[in-house]
Amino acid sequence: MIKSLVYLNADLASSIALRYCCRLANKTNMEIETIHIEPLDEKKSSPGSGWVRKTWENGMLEEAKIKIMRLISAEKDVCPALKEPIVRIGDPETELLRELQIKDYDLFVIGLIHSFSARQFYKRMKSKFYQASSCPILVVKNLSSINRVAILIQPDDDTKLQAETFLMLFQNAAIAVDIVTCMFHRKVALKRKHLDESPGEKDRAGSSIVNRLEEAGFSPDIIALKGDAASIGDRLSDYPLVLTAPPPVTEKNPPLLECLSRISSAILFCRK
Amino acid sequence: MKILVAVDHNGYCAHAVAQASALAANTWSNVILLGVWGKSAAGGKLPIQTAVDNYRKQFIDFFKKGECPYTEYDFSHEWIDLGSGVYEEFYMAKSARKELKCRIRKGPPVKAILAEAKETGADLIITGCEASGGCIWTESPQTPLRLVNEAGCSVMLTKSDKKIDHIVCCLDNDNVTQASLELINQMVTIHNARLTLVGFEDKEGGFQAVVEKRMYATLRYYQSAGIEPTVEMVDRDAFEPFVSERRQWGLVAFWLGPQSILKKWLPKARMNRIVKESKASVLILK
Repeated sequence: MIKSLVYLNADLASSIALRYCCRLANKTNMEIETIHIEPLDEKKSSPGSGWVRKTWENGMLEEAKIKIMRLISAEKDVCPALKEPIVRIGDPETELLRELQIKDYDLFVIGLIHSFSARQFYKRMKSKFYQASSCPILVVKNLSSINRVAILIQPDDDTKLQAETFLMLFQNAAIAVDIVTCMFHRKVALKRKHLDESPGEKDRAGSSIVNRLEEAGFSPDIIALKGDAASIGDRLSDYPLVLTAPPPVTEKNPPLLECLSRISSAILFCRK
Repeated sequence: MKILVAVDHNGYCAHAVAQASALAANTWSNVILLGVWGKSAAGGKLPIQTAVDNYRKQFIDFFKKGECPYTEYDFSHEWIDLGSGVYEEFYMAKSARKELKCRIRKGPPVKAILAEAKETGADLIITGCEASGGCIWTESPQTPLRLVNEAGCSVMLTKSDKKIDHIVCCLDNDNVTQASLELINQMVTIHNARLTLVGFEDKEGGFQAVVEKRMYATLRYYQSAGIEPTVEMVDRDAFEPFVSERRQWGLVAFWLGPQSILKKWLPKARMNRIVKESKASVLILK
C-alpha cells in the first residue's frame, strides 16, 4: 500500500491536487492522508503565554480544521472516504519535513496553479522543502485523466531512480508509459521556438529503463524531443503526468527547470 | 439564443458563416444573416444580395439532407378530420422548425449591424475579418473592432478556417453569466476542443479571492458537463506577450462586462491591438 500525504490549503490549487490524488488512488493501491499547516504569524501571535497561548492556538487549529474539512467535504463525490486531516501550527516547510520523516510516506502531493510566469515555480523548486524532502513530490497543476505517463530523461542520466519511482506507483496499474529523451537547445541560438520530435533509440540511458519496465510488464514507447526548453515543456503538457529527476540546483535556471515550469499538467519528482 | 451573422460580400465572411452553422446546428438558435451595403444600387441584383444568397446556401449545406431545421419540409397530402364524419385531404407543408432570415441593410456597416442586433434582440453577433490586415473589413476597415467595442451583446470575430482545437477563456473580476458559460460549453463540444481558463495573478502570486472563487465555480460547472478545463494564471503585465505567444489557440474568449478588470487595466487601444493581432479567432462575451 502506497502511503501518500496531500498538503491542503483552503484554495483552488489544493482542490485540484486532492481530486488528482483521488484519481491516482483509483488506479493504484494508495491510501491518502491530508495535512494542513497553519502558519504562525509572530506579529499577530498572542502576547500571553502558557494557558492563554494554548487556548489561542487551539482556537486557530479548530478554525483551520473547519476550513480544510469544508474543502474535503466539497470533494467527497470524487474522493473516497478520507480520514480527518492532520492540522498543525508552525512553519509549513519545517512541519512537513518532520511529518514526512516520522511517518515515512511514499509520496507527497501538493497543488500549484500553473502560471505563465515561472517565478512561483522556481521559488518552490529552490525552497528548503523541495531540496530536503525524503520522498517523491507530486506537484499537481491541473486535473486530467491519468492514462499515460512520460518519464523524462536526458542523455547520460542514471535512470534507475525514475524506473523505481514509476514502478513504486504504477506496478500493477493499467497505464501507458513513454520514455521521453530530451535534448535542450538554447532559444537564443535558435532565435525562435523550435521542436523536433521523432521515435527515440535505445541509447544507454533509454535501454536501462526500457528493460526494467518491460520486465515489469510495460511496453514503453521511446520518443526523442530536441528543441528549446519552452517548446519541449509545451509538448510535455500533453501528458497528464510527467516523471522526472529533480532539476540540478547548481546551475542558475537550468533548461530542465524552464521546461518543467511550462508543463501545465502534473510533475512527479523522484527522490533518492 | 438568437445569432446575427453580419457579412459583406468579401470571402472572409465565409468563416463566420461556417462557425454560425456549426453553432446553430448544436443549439438550434434562430439566425439572421445580415448583409450590409453602403452604396446605392445602380439597378439589378446587388452584389451583397448575391453574397447573402451564397452564404444562405453555405449555411443550409452544412446540414445533412432531411436534418436541417431551417428549411421547410415534408410536403404531403394528409387527411384531416373536420368533424361530423367529414374528412378533407389537404396538401401539407410543415414550416421550418427554426428561423433563418436573410436581410440586407444599407448604410454605415456598424450602425446597420447594431440596429439589426437591437431590433431583433440578438444574443451573439458573428462576423469575419481579413486577418492579414489586422482584422478589418475591406471596404470599412474598422467595422469588426467597432462591433467588439460598441455592441451590447457578445461578438465573435472569426479570422480563418483554422480548426478550433483549443479555446482559452480569460476570467476576471466580472460576473460571468450562465448563457456565456453555456456558449463556451457549446463551442468546446462542437469543436471537441481543449479548454483553458485564465485568471489574472495578484501581487502575491495567486488569484484575487473573488477571481479564485469564480474560477472554482466555473471549473466545477464545466467538470459537471464532462469537460476538463486547465487553469492558468497570468500576470497582467505579461498578458500581451501571453496572447502573442500562444499562436496555436483556435479561439480566445474574454468576459468584458462593465466590471471587467481587463477594461480597466488595458486601455482600449491596447485591447484593440490584442484583438487585431491575435492569430486566434476572438469571442467577446458580454
